[in-house]
Amino acid sequence: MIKQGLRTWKAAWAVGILVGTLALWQATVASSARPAAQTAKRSTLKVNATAHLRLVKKDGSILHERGTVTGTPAGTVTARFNVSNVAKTTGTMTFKPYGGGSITVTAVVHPAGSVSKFAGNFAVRRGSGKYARAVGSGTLSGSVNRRTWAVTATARGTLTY
Amino acid sequence: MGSDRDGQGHPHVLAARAAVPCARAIAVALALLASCSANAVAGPIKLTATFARGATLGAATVLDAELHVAPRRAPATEVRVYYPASLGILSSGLGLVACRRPASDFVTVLITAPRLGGCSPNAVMADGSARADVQLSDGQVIREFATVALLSGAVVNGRIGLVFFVEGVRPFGARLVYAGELRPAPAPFGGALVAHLPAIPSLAGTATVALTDMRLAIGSHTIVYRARTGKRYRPEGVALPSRCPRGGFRFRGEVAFADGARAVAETVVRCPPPAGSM
Repeated sequence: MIKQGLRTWKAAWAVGILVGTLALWQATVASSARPAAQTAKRSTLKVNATAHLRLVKKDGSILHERGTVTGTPAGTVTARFNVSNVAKTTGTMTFKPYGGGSITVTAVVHPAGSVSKFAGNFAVRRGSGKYARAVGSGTLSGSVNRRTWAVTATARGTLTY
Repeated sequence: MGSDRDGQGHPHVLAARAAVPCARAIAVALALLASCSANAVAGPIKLTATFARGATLGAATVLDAELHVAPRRAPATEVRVYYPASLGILSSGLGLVACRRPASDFVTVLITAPRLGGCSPNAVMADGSARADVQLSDGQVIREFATVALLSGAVVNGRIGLVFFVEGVRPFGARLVYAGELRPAPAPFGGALVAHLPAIPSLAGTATVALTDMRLAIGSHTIVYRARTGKRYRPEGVALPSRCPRGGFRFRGEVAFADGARAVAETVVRCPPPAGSM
């Protein structure tokens, strides 16, 4: 009777340990698989886009612009440029690709050869929708019509989202 | 106890309390003085800046900057005028093209060239006048009056160049050219207009030219550009922000002299009214 009780206890322990080990294994496998699955979902896009902007409002040394983007990713763009610093122009550009979501980048450009040409860099600051976790950077170059403040800017770089 | 803790009745506290309104009065008087004069004088130079009559916030205007240099033994070798960051100098429609002159011109200073040195009128950013004391080797000083044109120059190493054309009116009729540039500046300034004024080599041993006054109207109404179509138009002047910077628009003038001395003057331009309030 005592022996039978011990056997039952042992069996119960063995089952318990087995279930616990299985659960632990499952949890470990699941947790290690999650980032892999997430990484697999991230995409990298080669940015090669040209923005055509026109002046919406001028406020002292701040220019507010709006326009369209052709290339990858294509869509619409709004921008705010600060031209108060003679050595560099800083700006924030928000792209809204036609596929949805948005990407906001900060840009720093310098005069390149003449006052109407510029070159510099951009970096992704934030995003929304499918670009909510976007990161990326690249180069920015273009020209500006100093009479109308129409801007043509070409961005090249990478975007991971 | 309470009165002790409050300090009431103590002579030094009474004096301090009496001094507070006095200090306030002095501060108010100083502020009034500063706002009335708007021309700070610090040492041997004086800077004045004004916006054109009728200027409103959020609109383009003419910026008049005037620098007076008290006569000294050593002539000025460099002039800098710092302007506020919120002021749209670069965002104006001024200086559409670059005036490119050979580097040798800025060394010889005295040039024989047509008006504006043959540069496009679309490079003109400001016009104005200047006065200089021409000191001859015999000690005689002759005051020379001239007109000045400020043109945008070539971009070198990411820096926007400036070209100052000075045309003697009377008694001499010399044509001079000086190099300059738009330099970055620490806050609250957005940049500085810099003019380099080297000695004129061909006058060495004969005379020295010392700048005493310079007035520049940036975005002047007299500036006329020509569009590609050939149509003439007035370029947009200096863009004023829609909000006034705290304390007004602050400018600073700095002059370096040949003897190594430097002089600084500041001025604050009061805020023009917002658009639609006039």
